[in-house]
Amino acid sequence: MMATEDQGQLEKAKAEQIIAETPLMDGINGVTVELGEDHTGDPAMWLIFQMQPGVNPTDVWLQRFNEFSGKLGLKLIDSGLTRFPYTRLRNAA
Amino acid sequence: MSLSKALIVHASQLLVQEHAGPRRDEMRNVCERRAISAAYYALFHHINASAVSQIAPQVSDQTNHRIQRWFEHAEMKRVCGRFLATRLEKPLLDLLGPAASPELRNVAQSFIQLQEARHSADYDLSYNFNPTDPLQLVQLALGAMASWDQIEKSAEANIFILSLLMWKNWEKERP
Repeated sequence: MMATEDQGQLEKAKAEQIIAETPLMDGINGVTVELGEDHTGDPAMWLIFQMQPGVNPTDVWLQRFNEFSGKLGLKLIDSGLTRFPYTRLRNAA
Repeated sequence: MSLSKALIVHASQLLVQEHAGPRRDEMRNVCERRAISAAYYALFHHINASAVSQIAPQVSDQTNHRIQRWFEHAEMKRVCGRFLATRLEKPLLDLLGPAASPELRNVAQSFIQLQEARHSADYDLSYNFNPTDPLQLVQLALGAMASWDQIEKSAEANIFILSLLMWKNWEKERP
């Protein structure tokens, strides 16, 4: 495994630990982490937020989601992670 | 109405547009992609218009618009990343102190997020949007624009604006 891949897996594990310690907002079932590169080629991670079935994503709920996911992203950045945490909201499978 | 606000209105209108006929899903997908792109450009132009009005308040509209074209997307993303750091590095550390304000961090974080989404919307034909993505990203742009409005006359906004245009020069100050 290349050093950058090792680093990525370490960052992923750290992110997952921080997420596990963070209470989720209402309407979100869980958060998974995926590694990749963004469109500029920078190493990045994607936080995939799973919506609970039946949640109505109103403007107000989405504003709260943006606030919640933004704070979680900053928490990861503040923990020293180097990959930018992009967020995606997905319907539960 | 400013271009940035018009773009937000445009994005919102695209999301409530009714589609009918056999190409309904295709047309809805096009509107969602355009809405995401418009949300990014709303924030992009909101920051740049504010920036140029502060650094060149006396120039004509034509010159103002010309200066706005100096801002580069990739460079803006890089600079936003610098302002997100928990502890700012030099030269920002000397200029601003240890960290940017929560409002500026929100602007920087949202800008990076929206730029990536805009790239997917405009270029990645295989990208599957969640139905909530366009509205969520429009809300994200609105939130970031409001955060910018709160700090746009501040010293840190001045430094941010100068960084957008001059980071490469300032980098020479780094050890």
